[in-house]
Amino acid sequence: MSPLLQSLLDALHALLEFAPPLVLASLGGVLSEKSGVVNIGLEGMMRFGAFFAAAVAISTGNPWLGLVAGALAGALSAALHALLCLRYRADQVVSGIALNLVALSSVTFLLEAIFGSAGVSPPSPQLPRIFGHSALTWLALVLPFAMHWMFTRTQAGLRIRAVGEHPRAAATAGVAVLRLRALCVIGSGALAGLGGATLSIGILGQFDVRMPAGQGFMALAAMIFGKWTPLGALGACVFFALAEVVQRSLSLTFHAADLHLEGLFLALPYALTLLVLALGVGRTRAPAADGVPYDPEGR
Amino acid sequence: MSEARSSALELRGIVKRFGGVAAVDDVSLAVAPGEVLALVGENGAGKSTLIQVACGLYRADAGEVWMDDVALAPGDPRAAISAGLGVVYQHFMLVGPLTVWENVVLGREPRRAGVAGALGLIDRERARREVAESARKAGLALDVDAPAESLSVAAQQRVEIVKQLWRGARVLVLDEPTAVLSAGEADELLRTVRGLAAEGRAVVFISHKLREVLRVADRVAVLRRGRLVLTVRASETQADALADAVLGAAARSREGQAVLGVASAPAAASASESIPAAPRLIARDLACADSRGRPALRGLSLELRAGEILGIAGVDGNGQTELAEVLCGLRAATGSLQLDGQEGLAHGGWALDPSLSRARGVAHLPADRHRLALCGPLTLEENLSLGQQREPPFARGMLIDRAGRRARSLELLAAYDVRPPDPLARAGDLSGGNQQKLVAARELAPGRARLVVAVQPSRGLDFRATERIHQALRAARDAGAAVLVISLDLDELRALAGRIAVLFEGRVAGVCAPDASDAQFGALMLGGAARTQEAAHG
Amino acid sequence: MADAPAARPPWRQALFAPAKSPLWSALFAILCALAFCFLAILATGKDAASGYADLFQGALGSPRALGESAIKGSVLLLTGLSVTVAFTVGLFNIGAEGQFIWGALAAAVAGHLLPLPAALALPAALLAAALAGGLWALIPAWLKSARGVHEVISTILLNWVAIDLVHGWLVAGPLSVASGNADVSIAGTAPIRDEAALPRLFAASGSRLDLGLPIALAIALCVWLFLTRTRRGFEWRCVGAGPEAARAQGIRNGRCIAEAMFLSGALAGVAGALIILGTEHRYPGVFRTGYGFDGIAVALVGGVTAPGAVAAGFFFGALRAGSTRLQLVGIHPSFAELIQGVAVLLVAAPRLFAPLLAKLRGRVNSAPGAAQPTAEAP
Repeated sequence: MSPLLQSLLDALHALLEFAPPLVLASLGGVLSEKSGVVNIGLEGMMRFGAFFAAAVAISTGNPWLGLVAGALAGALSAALHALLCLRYRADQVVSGIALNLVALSSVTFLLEAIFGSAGVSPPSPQLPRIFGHSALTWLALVLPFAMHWMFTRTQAGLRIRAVGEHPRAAATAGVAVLRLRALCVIGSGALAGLGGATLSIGILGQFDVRMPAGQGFMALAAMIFGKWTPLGALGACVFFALAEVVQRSLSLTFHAADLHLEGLFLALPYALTLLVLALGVGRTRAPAADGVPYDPEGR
Repeated sequence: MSEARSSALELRGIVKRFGGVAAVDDVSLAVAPGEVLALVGENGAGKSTLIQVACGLYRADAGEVWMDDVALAPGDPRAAISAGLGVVYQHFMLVGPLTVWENVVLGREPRRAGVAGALGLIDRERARREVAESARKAGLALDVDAPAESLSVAAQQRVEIVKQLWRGARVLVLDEPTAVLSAGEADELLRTVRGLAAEGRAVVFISHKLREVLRVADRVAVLRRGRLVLTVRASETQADALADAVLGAAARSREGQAVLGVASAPAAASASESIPAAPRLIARDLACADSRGRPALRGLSLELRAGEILGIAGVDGNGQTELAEVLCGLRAATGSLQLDGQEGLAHGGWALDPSLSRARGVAHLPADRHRLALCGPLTLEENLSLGQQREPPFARGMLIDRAGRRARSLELLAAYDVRPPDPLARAGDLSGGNQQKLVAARELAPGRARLVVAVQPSRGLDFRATERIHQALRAARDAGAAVLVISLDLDELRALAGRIAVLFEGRVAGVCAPDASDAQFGALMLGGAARTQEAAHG
Repeated sequence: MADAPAARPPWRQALFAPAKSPLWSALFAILCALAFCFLAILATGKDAASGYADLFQGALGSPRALGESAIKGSVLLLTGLSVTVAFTVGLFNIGAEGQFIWGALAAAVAGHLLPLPAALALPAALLAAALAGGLWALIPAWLKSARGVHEVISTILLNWVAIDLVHGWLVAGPLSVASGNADVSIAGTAPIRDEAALPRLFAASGSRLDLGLPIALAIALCVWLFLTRTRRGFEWRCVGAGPEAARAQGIRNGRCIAEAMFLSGALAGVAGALIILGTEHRYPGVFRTGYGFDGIAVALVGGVTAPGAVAAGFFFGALRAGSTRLQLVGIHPSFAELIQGVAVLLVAAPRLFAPLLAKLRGRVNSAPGAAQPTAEAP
């Protein structure tokens, strides 16, 4: 086959490697923010998911158990975020940042305590591959459509949208606002955890102490770029993954490592994200009640 | 009065406290099917709180809610809805981006049969059909597919009513429904209400406008400071008696009458007999867009003299907000705007920036005082220095003059009766009335204002606070300021203004004297040809 | 379901009610974090007691240790101040790390290149650092004011851009002191001139304490005075507390935001300069920073006030200094970050933060939970 076709296929494969973790985490962001809760903690939830997925997979030898553990880890940390923000009305951004800090340090600590390593975990059993990519990859491609369907066609979706725009109106209609928000936040944590699990047991085959290396924040940017919709988030993540693929191949082409120009190329995806956000895409309205604590007894 | 039929809705001994203050204090009420009960009281009397307890949004500290002889679980909106209680709130509970039918069925969405339904798939066709049907039966015109945020205020209210009817409400509560309607729309609503009662529903009609109440209700219950002070048949009472029950002796004052909507005698121009001939503020052909880019002002012209109060009336959304913003430098506009002969909209003009308009002597009392006039987390004394923070007595050179600021704040807090008069209290913790007094103290006290722009000055305020604010506005007028009062409450304008201009679609439709009839105002508000009492430039 | 905050058991009230003073809640959070982490270490089977003893030794146990704590504390208090200043105008400056890095690089380059006498070389390097950090912080400020981009995202992305550009390109490439050398990636930049270095204090005691400490404290004092005593500082606080009201009263929001962010970045930049000019004397090839990120924790635990940032900065500095000794008992140094993280979580937690953050720009005065609907509620 022609070299062009070959490199396109290679690019496609690379895309399918990079995009899924972003997509899963980004969908988590969408779910949480659609219901009105800001979730800056995606990075931390991904980290917990990546680590615990690998740890459980290694100790049990079963990658599926690892997968469940990863989702659970993300969900539990999100539950903490939900508790702080919904029950105690803590500032949602601060809570998310705190979560990231805790995840950053505690996972490093656990990696050292459990595996005695400061860099990578031992190799872990990987999820089976279909057509060359892990099961989670295909899930990540299907899930945005499922979520879109949920938001536009189902009861749950209608209520979530209502709760994110005008929670008091939803309350007067009999919707349990805080409970629904809590479910969405926990769900978003599970998704972010799955995204992290994709990194460790889906793609790399082990946990690296730097995971997810900022992908949680890229997922947030993708959510904003995608105008807080699941399909938009999918498109944005593909776009960012593409940028990563391009950056790597450019870096190789220009022998960046030898010329010590790596940094320039590494910075490209982030700079691109900024550019995209600056071009006014970020101006689209988030759900109206996003980030505003709901006080059942307030005005 | 002691009929044997059961009450549709009965409240027994309801008590609700917020932070130690009883908003509702041992209130017991009953409404029978087919009856319209009016719940009357001034702002802050506890009417809305009572209803929110009844429908389960708030949990009462004591007492019970019964519907058809069954006690409702407290704090459970779903239970109240299932039992047949429907509430149309003063501040609409509509989710903007959702369509009309989505708003109506929210919380009780009809599902498809089978597996899809088990997953939660909504039966859209059925929903749309049922909503349209409910609207038609009640005689309310609605486009079920329009996004709620695109509708007019009156249409949104219709959606709210249909929402309750579709859910099978047998007890309907309307909280201050005519506050946002024009005279004609209000009439229509009152007719709708009687129609609903005739179909066997119980209706609770909450209002502080006594004339309306007497027109529509069978019985009237009066709340005052959280207590039920009077229950009487509408046919057996008069506005005076009700006014006395609502406000006590204060009802005799002009302010009291304005608050309750029973004022018939207009405000005298009082001390400002010697109004100078030359207008201080001249606006010609003002045009601007609203926050969504749609035209808001379309060639508005008016004149205002020192020592007079001009009222701006009209249905919400006809340019009032934008007019205030233009005058205070918060919105760009074209046309000509002159204050004391200085052009505001030209290059370097005073209306281009809030700091410039303040420097020119424009004082602004916005409707949304918490957001636009005060910094909630800051203290009272800090808020009192806002806008003048660079000048004495609040500053000395580059530094804040703490002693000076404290002294001045104590003066102002006392003069305007702000409670608590603690300079270190947080502005955000103050009640609405005290916040407004704080804003008035800051804007009006120095007595240097050349133009005062007050928007909805007594919205949400109880009688005492309203009185104080109106006093402050009159004092500003007497001190020589030109005062513009923009309000949706015609009675307030009648009590304050010497002339009242009606806005319709971004232009002045006409100018009336305060004693013009409701019909005349109503016609102007709906764009009817202006049969004015005075020329537009009086 | 309507929540009923009515009958709350008293101990819960005492535990979770917002503190009257943010410093007390910070102290409480720190103590809890320490206790929690003590248990965490025990759970992993390591010797927690001697670990903590070593921590204490490493932080405060000798002149050298005190010096280390003070140095690190000075840097952290500045990055904490950086985040605090940004909060004042209502922005979350998560970008202190990137601003720190650019400041450090600028100090390294200026310290190496500028042929100035001693009295001028040091201030010039500090100024260069402040400028570099400040300019980098103006980017997210502009993005927020002009394009509505949320600063949390933009500052985080800019952090990575900074890390990649500086570590992955500039320091490894054009600015590297070695060239054509196998060790180039760990060599760092050329060393600074002696005139630009921060003079040591109490050098005889063996500590590395330098002029950075008094400089940092002096800066903290100036910032505090500015925020609380000047007209401009007051205007910044208004912008943070009520941006629409501030604008309506004639305050220039955009300008205040830009100024505050510039100062914020400059503070982080100077923090970076203190490390370079004090201990490293060049921008090292391998630079484990994280001071910028820690600044966020410092600011939050310090209740987002200037004095709080000083106190929390020194506490976390002591932690950092002491934690290198934890390896002696087999505990990974990242443990110090764990304490930090937990402390932040506790400070962010129950009821403490929403009213706290709301009060941060004003005075901490009124009773907790006072933002209740009054009798005039609808």
